[in-house]
Amino acid sequence: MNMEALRQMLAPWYLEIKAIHLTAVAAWIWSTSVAYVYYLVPVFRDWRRQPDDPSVLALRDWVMDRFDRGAVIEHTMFPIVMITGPLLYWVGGWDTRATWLSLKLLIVLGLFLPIEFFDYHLSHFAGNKRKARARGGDAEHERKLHQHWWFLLTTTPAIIFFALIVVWLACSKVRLAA
Amino acid sequence: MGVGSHVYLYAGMFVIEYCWHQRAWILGWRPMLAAAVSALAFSALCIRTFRVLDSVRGSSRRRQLAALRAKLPELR
Repeated sequence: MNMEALRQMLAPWYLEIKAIHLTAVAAWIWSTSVAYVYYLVPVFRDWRRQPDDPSVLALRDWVMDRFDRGAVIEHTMFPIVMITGPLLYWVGGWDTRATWLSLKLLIVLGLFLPIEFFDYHLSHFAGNKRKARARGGDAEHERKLHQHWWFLLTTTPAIIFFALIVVWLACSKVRLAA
Repeated sequence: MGVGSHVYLYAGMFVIEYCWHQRAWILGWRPMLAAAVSALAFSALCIRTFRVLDSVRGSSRRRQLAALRAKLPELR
């Protein structure tokens, strides 16, 4: 089966693919928001005020570990977004003449993709705090935890700001060219 | 972050629209103004976020720590 025949076969399923894409996008954007705002932020603020309190440190480590585990939802949804997105682009016959799509792709590929690669590292791979402690003890655990906290501080405003712009671009399909 | 991200996005749109599709609208004042306003808004959001999160000088410095005894469940 050649690519054009495959595209014709998938074309009637465009809206279904879009439904999967939008569901995955929503889950990717929002799945960590409650944990971040109501668990991570309060605990990390308390840690900054009492950096040596053992009970604050224990709670901080527990919350961070839970957050790392919970990020599996976001990190399962992101590949679905990245598969269904190009599928919609291809099946729908879109190209870069659609200015809303060009801007959206620049945001996704240039901002979200690098952020998510680092996020995967921090939550599940070498940057995971449990693995860091097993590998290098408390010092390595602290180093990775500090790194993850700075990562969250700097990327959260970017995700909020540009995710809302991406959703607006995708829904409005605004013609940016005059 | 605010300026850098918007410089990247504007440059990307310039390459796609002007260099690739030969459309000159991207050089107009409206796209530049929109990019500048967006960069300002994003920078303001970043500054506000850091201020709120700063437990020493920010708005959360008035929060009190309450001492509690709790068991933290561990997954096996």
